[in-house]
Amino acid sequence: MNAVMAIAGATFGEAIRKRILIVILLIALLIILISPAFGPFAGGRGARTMIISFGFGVIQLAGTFIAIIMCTTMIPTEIERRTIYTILSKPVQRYQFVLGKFFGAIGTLGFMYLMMGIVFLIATRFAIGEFDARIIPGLIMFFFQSSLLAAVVLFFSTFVSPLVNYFLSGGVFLLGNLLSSFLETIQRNPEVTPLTRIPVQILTLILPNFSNFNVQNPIINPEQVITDPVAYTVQTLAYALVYMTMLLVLSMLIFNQREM
Amino acid sequence: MRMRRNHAGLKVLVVVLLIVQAVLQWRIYPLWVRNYAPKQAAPIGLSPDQLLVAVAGFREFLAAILWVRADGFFHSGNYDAVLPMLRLVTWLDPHNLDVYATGAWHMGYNFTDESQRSDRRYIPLALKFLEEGIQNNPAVWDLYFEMGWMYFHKIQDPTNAVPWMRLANEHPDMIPARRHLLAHAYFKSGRFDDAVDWWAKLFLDAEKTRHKDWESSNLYDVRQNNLEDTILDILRRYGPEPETQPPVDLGFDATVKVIRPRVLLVEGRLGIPTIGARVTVILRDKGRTINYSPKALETFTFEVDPKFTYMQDSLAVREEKFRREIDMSKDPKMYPFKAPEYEVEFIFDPRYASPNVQARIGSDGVGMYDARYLEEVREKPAPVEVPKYAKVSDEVRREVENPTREVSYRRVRKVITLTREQILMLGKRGE
Repeated sequence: MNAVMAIAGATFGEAIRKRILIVILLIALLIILISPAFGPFAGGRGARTMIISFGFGVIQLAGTFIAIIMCTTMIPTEIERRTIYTILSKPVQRYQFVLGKFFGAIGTLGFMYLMMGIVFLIATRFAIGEFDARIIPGLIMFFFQSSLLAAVVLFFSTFVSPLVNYFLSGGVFLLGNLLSSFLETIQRNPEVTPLTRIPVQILTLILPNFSNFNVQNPIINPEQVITDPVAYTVQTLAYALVYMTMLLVLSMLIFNQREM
Repeated sequence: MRMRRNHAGLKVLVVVLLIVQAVLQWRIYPLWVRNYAPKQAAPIGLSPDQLLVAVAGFREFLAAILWVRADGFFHSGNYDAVLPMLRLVTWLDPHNLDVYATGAWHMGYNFTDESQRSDRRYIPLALKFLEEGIQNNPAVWDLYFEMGWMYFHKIQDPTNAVPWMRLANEHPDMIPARRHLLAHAYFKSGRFDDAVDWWAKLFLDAEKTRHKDWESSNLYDVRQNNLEDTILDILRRYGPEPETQPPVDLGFDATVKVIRPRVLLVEGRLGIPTIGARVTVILRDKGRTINYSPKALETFTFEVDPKFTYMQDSLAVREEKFRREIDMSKDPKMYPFKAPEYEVEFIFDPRYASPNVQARIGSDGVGMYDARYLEEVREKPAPVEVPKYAKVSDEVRREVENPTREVSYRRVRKVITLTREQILMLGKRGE
């Protein structure tokens, strides 16, 4: 466990020094800070909708970019620089290396989300005149979304090049965000045949479903009454943990077989 | 040291985890659909850049921007452009109640002709739009109320306003003053016992908090006053010495004359011995009327039947007479006149008469008489399909899904038939 934590710590330290990630974070913080300027366009309730939805959108987008950019190069860079040989020559197993990298990425994402979350809460406090604690669960869910994406990217990085990984992970993220909506739309359409519906249902059950973590709508529309919010949150977080574990085990299996 | 084992255990673990996540996703999906889903994966009508913005996680933000744009169209009088915006916004953010409420109001009230007469062909669309909003937000009172209000105020059908108001009142967070409307709907629909009971209930509720603040104290006063007024009105009109008796002979009559192509002169008599009465005049395709129900449309659409003519106006009665020139020549889209025959219907409905008129004839018309055109209307509210996840007691659910309470009222009604040739003055100097 010490080895995993040591690699995680080193990964975290390296990631928060990466200029590209810092730039993304700073741009996101700046945009969140100026998001109250959208308020006057709508006024009243519309202003709240604009400010909160825009803030969440920026955080989700920044989290996505950070997860993809950070994790795509995490393992390939170690191989390219040959630093991995130094690490693996010590009493460190390959699975420990993968786990350490993943926990380092999660730590980095956690740090970035904490920064963005604090700024978002302060900005909304001044923009809508109240501290809205409902924003916090929304941020936590987006953090889990980015963590799951990080696991997907890390998994791909064990067997594809970084360039391919950018597109592959981006595609999976896009698909994982749209699949549930797509399935819901075609289920409501009586003209859609089972031949079309069933493959979509299967894909929805297999691919990581990122839209599960987007719970911002009831936060934006506080009048909305949610049925079983606790059950939903617990199941979604469990889903994230199970999926991430599965991807990590797969990453370890592939990485273990890899010739270096 | 590198592992060179088969890792069969880990492979089995992957399969188990795959199954577990699929089971979890299977359980999450229905909750997600109920609570968080947008109504279209990729709304048709969004430009590619808007679609990208929506997919990138700015769905509600885009909806808010489009809603602001729709407001701009509304204030510039471009009403037609507002409708597709409503569709897009509610697809992107189906829990934005303002959009449903404002959109339905817009369809129900704002499409008018040159003389500010509503295009009532849009009302079923408004009802369908509200029904969709209710389906998407079944546990919130607002849209049940809006539906009730549409029936109560726009359609002037208090009987069908009652079930929706009942459903709205099931929600404890409903604005207190809006609860009053159910009592008014009960009263107008002739359910006087229910009106008194509801005022009494509201009054007792207000009594518990009357000393809390000024607003609560004011609410208490309003409810007490309304309860007393309702009881007094019932006693005066239907008590031992009713002021509504003997009945007033209305001597109702109406005529219609085509004075220019698509321009009618309607006039007539209604023997109400006080001011404040209004006669409704409707011109419509013969044998066809508007079905004021969300079930009138199978699916929501912004299109109205372009061949259907329906005009409704309200004529003030002064010194027992009414008269108006109705010009339908400037709005051919609203009044296409494609049918071969038309019915011009004149109705005096006491339920929406002014209080001084009702004081004499009763809100159900018990104090009026007409030798030729008097009708007794008996009706029940249409059954309401309560959404699955609505927060409604079993009693109210049963009541609105299977209404049994019949109400009755009297009205006077005269129908005159005109042909298309007559209205367009074909063969004369007309079209």
